[in-house]
Parts: sequence; structure tokens; C-alpha cells
Amino acid sequence: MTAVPHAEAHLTTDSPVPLLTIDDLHVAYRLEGKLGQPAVRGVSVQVRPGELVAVVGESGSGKTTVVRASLGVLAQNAEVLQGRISYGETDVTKWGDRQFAKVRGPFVGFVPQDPGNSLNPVKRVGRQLVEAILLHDRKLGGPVSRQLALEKLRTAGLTDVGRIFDQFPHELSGGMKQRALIAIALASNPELLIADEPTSSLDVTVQKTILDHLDRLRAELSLGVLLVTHDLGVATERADRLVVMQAGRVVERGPTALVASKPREPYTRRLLAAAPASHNSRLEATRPAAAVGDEPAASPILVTDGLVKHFKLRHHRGNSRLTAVDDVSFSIARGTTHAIVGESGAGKSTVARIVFGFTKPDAGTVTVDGADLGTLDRAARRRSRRQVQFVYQNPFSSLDPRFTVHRLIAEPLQIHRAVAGRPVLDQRVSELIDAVALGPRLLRRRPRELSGGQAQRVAIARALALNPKLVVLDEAVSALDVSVQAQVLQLLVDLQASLGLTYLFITHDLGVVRLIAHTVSVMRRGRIVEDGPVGEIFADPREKYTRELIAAIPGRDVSPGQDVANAGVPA
Amino acid sequence: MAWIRYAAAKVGRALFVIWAAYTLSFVLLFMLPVKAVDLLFDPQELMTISNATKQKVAAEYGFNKPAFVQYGDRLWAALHGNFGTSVQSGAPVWKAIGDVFPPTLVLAAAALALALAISFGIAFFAANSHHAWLVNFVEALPSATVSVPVFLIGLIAIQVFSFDLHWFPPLGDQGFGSLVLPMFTLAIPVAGPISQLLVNSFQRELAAPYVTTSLAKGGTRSWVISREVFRNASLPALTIAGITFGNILAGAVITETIFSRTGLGRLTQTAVGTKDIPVIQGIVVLTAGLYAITNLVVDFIYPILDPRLKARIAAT
Amino acid sequence: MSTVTEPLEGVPEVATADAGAAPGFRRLAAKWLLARARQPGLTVAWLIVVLVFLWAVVPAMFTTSSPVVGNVASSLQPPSIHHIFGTDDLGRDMYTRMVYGASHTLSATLYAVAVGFLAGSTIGLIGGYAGGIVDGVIMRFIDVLLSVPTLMLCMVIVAALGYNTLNVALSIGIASIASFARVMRADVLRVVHSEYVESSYGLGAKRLRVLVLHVLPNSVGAVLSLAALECGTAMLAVAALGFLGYGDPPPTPEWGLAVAEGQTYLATQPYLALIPGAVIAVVVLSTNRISRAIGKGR
Repeated sequence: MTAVPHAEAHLTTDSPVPLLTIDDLHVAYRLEGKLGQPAVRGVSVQVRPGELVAVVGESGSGKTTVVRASLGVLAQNAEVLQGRISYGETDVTKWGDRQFAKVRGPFVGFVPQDPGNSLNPVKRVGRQLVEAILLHDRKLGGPVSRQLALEKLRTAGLTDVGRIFDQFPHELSGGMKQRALIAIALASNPELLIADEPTSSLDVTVQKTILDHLDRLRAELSLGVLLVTHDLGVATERADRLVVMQAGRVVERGPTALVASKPREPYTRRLLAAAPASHNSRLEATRPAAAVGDEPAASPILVTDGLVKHFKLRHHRGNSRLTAVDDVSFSIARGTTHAIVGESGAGKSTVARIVFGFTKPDAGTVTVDGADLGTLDRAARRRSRRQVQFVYQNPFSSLDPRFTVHRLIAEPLQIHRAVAGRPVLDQRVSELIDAVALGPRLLRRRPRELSGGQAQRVAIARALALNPKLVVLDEAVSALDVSVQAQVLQLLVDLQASLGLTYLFITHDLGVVRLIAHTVSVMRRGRIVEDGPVGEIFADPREKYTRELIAAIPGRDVSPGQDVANAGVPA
Repeated sequence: MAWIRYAAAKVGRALFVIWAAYTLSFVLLFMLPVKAVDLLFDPQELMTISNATKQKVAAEYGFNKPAFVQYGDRLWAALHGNFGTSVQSGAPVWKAIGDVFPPTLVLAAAALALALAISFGIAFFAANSHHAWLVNFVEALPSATVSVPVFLIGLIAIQVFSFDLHWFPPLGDQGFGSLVLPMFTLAIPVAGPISQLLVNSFQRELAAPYVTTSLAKGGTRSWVISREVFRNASLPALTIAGITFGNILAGAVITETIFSRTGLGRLTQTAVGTKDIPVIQGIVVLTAGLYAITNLVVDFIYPILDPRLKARIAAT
Repeated sequence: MSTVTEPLEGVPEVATADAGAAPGFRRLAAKWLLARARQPGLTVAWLIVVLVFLWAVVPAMFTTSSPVVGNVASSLQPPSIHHIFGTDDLGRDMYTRMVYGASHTLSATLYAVAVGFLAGSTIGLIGGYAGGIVDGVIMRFIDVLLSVPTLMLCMVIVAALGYNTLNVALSIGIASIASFARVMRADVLRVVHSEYVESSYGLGAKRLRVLVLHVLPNSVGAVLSLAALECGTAMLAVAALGFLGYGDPPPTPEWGLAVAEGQTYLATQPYLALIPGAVIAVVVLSTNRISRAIGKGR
């Protein structure tokens, strides 16, 4: 223990030598020859054997740069300006590619964030794993290395390892790929594991089993784990210590329980407050409610009855039919939010597209405000479009990149000739941009000049332009950072209150459902397995699948301290 | 089943291309501003030949029939391997082409090998080097080579290596020595597009997440480039195989003219110059056929090299 | 891997302040000069292209001699102060011939690119937007155009239509239809299947509105930068066909033809062939440099 870095020295005097020490790291990227603003400024992290340290940060916080620096795989245009990285007591900051290559594997293993693209698509899984073994132990023969590889696949929690060994990555599911990647990371028995958002692209139930497995491996092999994540729920549930990063700096650090219950920094408090798991009831509207209309609130605005949709699939053994939506019926009361929740492949997006009219159902009816969409002629359907609007997951792909914000919001008004004359149009557009809490300054910008949250607000403003009754939100907050997600959810709740809107809210995230929805349908493999008021479903789930989904929400057990709950969410 | 459908579609596409090229050339050549029959006679004697004789000869060759009947007759003959005889030499078209094809094939193969060596050299260098300015320089090479006219490269080569240094003969096609300059002349413009594509695709693959995985499992950068990136980055080059092939043939026309070599290029040049319609048509069908076959071979090799495509074909 | 940057981490949530008041003319000029000085290659390329353009438009401003009639007494002179590019076998000043040749080569190039661009992008647009059988027919048509090497296709077309530079340009244009159509079609397909086009239909827009306001503006960029790139390629093809004798006959001062004429004297007067060749190479290099810059800027 020659030079224990500052900051944490007082906490760790009795601990063994840390596996990884990052001390006051500064990294900047060179763009077209010029060194930009540092992406990482003065970050210090330590990981000891058997310890799980989580680095938490939103996009742009520099957490990925920290991971790459600690693996010695920084992009070629990155430069370490200052600071030190040590493996054990060895300073590796100045190491070259060859030196690093020798310890990547036997000392440090890496679990990447995107299992879909992190295996070489043209090599069999087994070969990629055997390579990882042979790179560090050339003496092992073919049969021995194969046996070892199969054992590693088993250690990573896979069964049927003989078959997987001979498969190509595209033949495996996301969760299986991630397990294969864990096997590769463990190939040469590392002491330290660095995991970069290892589960953020996986379904919640898969995420839970993978994280549980990593936890078990850590205990059994006494691995040190550096877990990088944007998900405070995952971090607080799994980590011994937390390091919170914002814009390249560490803003807060400490034992998980302490940081989660008594956060010192406002940013940490905001993050905790924004995490869906920290709320157990619906968000309160911060705007006055609209006067109740003359229509009876009890009559549902949307009724779907027995929706069925098949897709044709062709296999090497003849054709087959995939039933994406199977006998789905639900209704939404005026001025409320109905959520459809399910994992990938549940058919929830197909339902959204059927309701909006993008997809024709093979059977069943959609009734909007008393009118059956299937029986309307073209002109009537076009008029009915005004009553239902759609918001996509990714605003950057659903807004024309060449349009200004003004033109984007004005487009539906122009299509339906809803306003007469330029002044009225401008007036309406500024009302709308105001309604989604954006400044008029943004009207002249194009989508790529906006942040993700701003762009999604523009998409919402566009959806509201024609005073719709029902808005279909297809994973509309899933691509946003947690703190931005919280703001957009609050905006949706406020708009619902002030305009009397009805939402159909499609999501994979049960945590979000509790924040926004009144009623919920849980979908699995095309069918609704359970539905009812949100409170009842969470308090007393009848189906096993619903219970699994609720159990998989990360960070449920973390009860935020009083000051966190009071921090509120800035709108 | 899916594979049979795939193969049938690809073979059908190849046959269609060859047929369409034949038809296209027939239509184009039918527009020629000369009477086909006049080309059969020596230009010096043309004036002295009576119209009656011309009529008789035209009837013999079927020139007096309507265009679509002629087209049908000749297509039928072509399907039986008979493309007619060269107006110039009187030899069957296939023999005229067959005689000059081997030297062009040797030149094309040599140039292609050299072009591939140059392209991969550039791509590897650009991927491996640490010096930014050197990488920039190397990356600018491909677009420079596609900017220089083939004939200028040839003329400079003759000037420097034949007239100044006397290393290689300036003209002719005798022996290996005479192959060197044409080979380089032809290889440089062919290497341009290939190396452009390779440099880009090496860059794209190097940025892929699986590269990080391979580095993290203990591969050095050069190990990752040669064992992981090389194959994936080379695959897209196959997609321009057909076009590359066309570049080589077109380049051969100019190269063979400059270096006075016998070959398909020179034959094309003379056939077009003398309006030797059967030979031109034979050449057009030959090149279209070679293009179609090249693409057909690629269509069958690609799924073997890329398992993702294989899966996609099986799923259609 | 020089262009790899940090994995995308999105735009920061903090809104950046708008740029300050419009800078004065002097500041703009200084900024422009600085940008030029940073990319000397691009600046030189622009200067060359502008110069050659002026050659083509007002040749008499650059030379007083005749490109056709020479002084036999001073034939085959190597480059000197009086004749910077030397003189040919008929005693004509090679520099003058290059200046006057610019209009031939340049107009043929632009004509060829215009034909390819208009026909190709229309075909590609129709294929990508209509889909189905129409698209299938168009794809096969493109396939056939690609199957015959450009130069051979041009030779056949010119032979059929007649030997002159106009037909050379037309043939090059026809041969380049395939690449324009392919690029346009690919981009139209990408845009047609994008979420913003779908969402515009969702808002109630009709097909024509979507085509004009969304599909065209978002797909025309790629073919525009291809057109810039094609200028270089077409110029090379014009020169190559001129070299092979398919353009206007002598005494036209077309550049490719000049190389062919000079080839006879390669052993004794190499500059006669190499200088026109070098002029072509320099102009094509410059055009390609500019088109690459345009492509990057998009």
C-alpha cells in the first residue's frame, strides 16, 4: 500500500490492496487535430477484491471513457492528460498495447454493454471463447481448450453448452449472448471484472437473472467488480459503494446505503428522486385541472375488442404464422392513462399501431369515441386522425431532420387547414411550444440541435396541435436519461390535467407505469395476462408473470430518505 | 427449399442480364447510320457493285427481313452458339474473340492481383499506423488514383521505364517483360475504388463493439486487425467484384491501345472502328456474361462467408 | 481509426446560447481566409477549377494566339518562356490549345453529368417510391446497364449515333444513369421507411405532400454529392474517349485528343502528350477534392 489515493483513504486503511485504482484521471479527445474539452476530469475510483463498485451517470457523464481507460482500450484520438491507473500496485498508465494485452484476460475481464454487437458476427461462439483462452495459454490443446470453454459457458449460467459452442451469435438470444460474453470475460480467470451497462439492452427479467449471476460469481470467485450504469436502481441494489458522475466529474461517492439514504449533492438527490422505483404512487399534476367537459367521464374514449394480428414467418421448414396480438381487449376511460406493459416480443407496439391505424388487425374492432375505425371510409378516417395522435420512442427518427421546430409543430395544422392565416398559425405554434415548457428561442432550430428531452417535447407539442382526445405514446420516454424522463413524465401528467387528455402508454418499464398510469394491462406473447387498476396490480398481482416482472424492477428495496422525496422533480 | 428459390432467382437474374445485353446491343447497332449490307463489301469496290447483287447478298444474310424477324433469327442462332461471322475477317465471331482473349485474361489477372495487393496494403497501413498525417496521406491515395487518366499513367510509365531507364519494352506483347508496364498501368485505376472501399470498411469494423471485446480478451491491436477485422472488412469488397471486372475490361481497351498489345480491348477498338457488328455484339454479350457470372459466384460465396446472410436466406 | 470519437453520449441537456450578434464583414472575411489557410489543398483546388472555368468561358482573355492555325517555322518547340507548354508538330502553341480545349472538355462533362443526374435520379426516385413491380423492372434495368463496362457501352453508343463530342457526352451520361439511380433509390427507400415519413402520414398528410416536403429534400443530398464526384469521372471518360478518337475530329483542341496526337512524338517530345495528360489529371484531382469536401460538409 504505497500510495493510497486521497478521497477514500480514511475508509480503507484495513482493506487489502485494491485491484484497480484510478487516481485523478483526466481524458480528452482530439477532434480534427484539436484537443477538445476533457470528457473526464479528475475521476478517482478504487475496486478491491470481492467488492462491487458502481459508477452511476447519465449520458455524457464520461463513464464509458473511464471504462475504456481502465482497460487500456481508449480510442486512438483520446489522450490521458493527467492522472494514474494502477492494477494492484503496478502503474499501468503508460503501458503500451502489448503489455496491456497480456493482462486483459488473466487479470481484468470485460462485460460490454451491447451484447447484440459485441460478438464477432461471422465466428462461432465457441471459437471466440477458445481464442480468449488460447491467447493466454498457448500450450492448451484443442480438446482441452474446448472442455475448458464448455465449463466457462456453464459457469456463465448457460445450459446446453455443447450446442451453443457451435452456434453463431445471431442464433442466440440477447441474454444468451450476454452470458457468452461473461464466459469470455471469465476465460482466463480474472480477478477484476469491468461491466459497462451489462444489462441495459435486455428485458427486465433477463436483467435480473444476469445481475444475480454476476453477484454469485463475485462471491464465489471473490471477484472485484466495477459496474458502470445509468440506472440508479440497479446500482443501489447491487453495489457496495457508489460513485456518481456528472459531466466528467465525480460529484458524490460513498457506501451505497449512505449515498442512497443521505445524499449530499443536489444532483444525486435529483437522480434518486427521478428514479421510477423511488415513487410508489402516481405523479401529482402541477397545473390546474381542466373544467370537466359536458361528456360523461364514464364513457370510455377507446374500446378495443378481440384484436388479433398475425405475421407470416418463413423458416427453412416451410412457413408459419406468428401471432403477434391474440384476442386483446381493453378500454380507456376519458381523461385517464392506460398502460400496456410487457417485455420485447409481447406485441404491445403492434397494439399501439393498430389503435392508431398504422396496422390493420386481422380480427377485432377499435372504437374511438363511439366510432368503429374499421367501418369508416378514407375521408372519415383522415378526419378521425385528428382525434388520435402518436408519439414515437425516438424523437430524432420521428421528426424530419430538415424541418425547423416551427415547421414541425405547424405541419399538422397545415395538413388539416386547421388555422386560417400565418399570424394565427404562429400564435398557435407558440402556444404549443409554451405548453410543453420550451422557449420560443428553439423554434428556429432543427432536431439535431436539440437535446433528447427537448426533441421529445417537440414531438409531444406536434401531437397536441390538433387538440386530439387520445395520444398513443409508444415507449415515449424509454430512450431518455432518467432525470429527463422524470421531467417528460411530469409534463405528460400536467398536460393531461390541463387539457383533459387520454393516454395509451406503451412501455417495457413497470416502474414508469406506476408514475403515470391509472390502469394497466400486462402483455406476454401477444396476450393480456392480467389487467386492472395500477394500485391493485402492484399490491396484489394474481399472475406469476406479473409477480416476476414486479420483482425484477431494480432498486425496489431502496427507500429514499425523507429529504429525497421532498426534493421533487423540476418540471 | 429456400436455397433452391435463392439459387433459381440468382441464376434467372444472370440469364436475364445476358439476354438484355444481347437485345440492347442489337437495338443500338440496328440504329447504325450505315446499311448493314454495305459493310460486307470492300469499300473500294462498293461503288461498282450493282444494286441487284446487293439485294441478293442482303437476302442471303436476311437483311431484308423486318427488324424483329432478324432479331428472332439471330437470337435463335446465338442460343445455338452461333454469333455469325466477322465482317472484317470472315472468321466466326467466337474464333475472333477466342484468339485474342487469352492475352487479355493474363493481363487482367495480373493487374487484378496487383490491384488487390495495393488495396489491402493501403487498408492495412491505414488501420495500423499511429501517425495521423501518414494515415491521412495514405487515405488520400485511392481518390488520387481514380483521378489520373489511365492513358497518362501508361504514357508516363513508357517515358520513364522504357525510354529513360530501358527496363521494359515500350510496346508489344512478347514475354514477361512486356507485361509489367501494362499490368501496373491497369492495376492503379482498378485499385482506386477497391482501396477506397476497404479503407472505409476497415474503419467501420474497427469501431464495432466486438473489437472492444476482442481487445478486452487479450488481443493486441494487430491480432484483432488480422484475426477479427480483416475478414469482416474484406467481405464488402466482393460486392463490387462485378464492377471491378468491368473496370478492368474497360481499362484493357486503353492499355492495349497504348502498348499496342493484342487482346480483347484492341479487338473492341477495331470492331467499333470498322462497324463489325457481329463481333461487337459478341464482345458485349461476353462481357455481360462474365459480369453476370462473377456476380453469380459472389452470390453463392457470400452466404458461406457470412453466416448472417445464410440465416436470412433460409428465412425467406 | 483516426475519426473514432467517444461513443455517442447525446447532446447535453443544457441549451447552448444562440450565437452573438452577426459579425462584421471584416470578421467574416478573416474567418474565411483562416478556413482557406487551414485547407490549402482545397483552396488550390478551387482556384484551379475557377481558372479552367474561365478558360472555357472567355478563352481570348488568356491567350492571343490561335488554337488551330500554327506557325510551322516554330514547330515542336519544348516549353519555354514564349510557349510555356511548348508547340506541336504544326507549330501551334500548346497552352493556347489547352485554354481553348477547356470549353470542349468542360461542356461535355457537364452535359454528361446533367443527363446522368436527371435521368438516374428520376428513375431511382420512381423505383424507390413506387416499389413493387415497377421497382423490380427498374432494378433489372440498372443491372443491365452495369453489366457492360462504361467505356465499352460508350463506344457502342457513339458508334451508333456518330463520332462527335456531343454524343460522347450523351453516352457517358447514359452509362452513369445506373449509379445515380442506385444511390437515389437507396436513399429514397431509407427515407420512405423512416419514422418521420410514417408520422407525417399519421398526421393525415397525402402522398404528394410527403413526397415533395419530406422524401425529396431528405434523399436528394446523396445524389448531389455523387454528381460532384461524377464530374471528375465523366471528365476522365470524355478524355479517354477523345484519346481513342471518338470525339470531334482534329483540329479540335480537345484535351484527350491532344494526348493521342502527342503520343506519336512520345520518344522525342514527351511533353506533347504528358502536358495535356497532366492538365486533365490536375483538373480531375481538383474536382474530386472539392466534391469530397462537399460530401463531408453534408
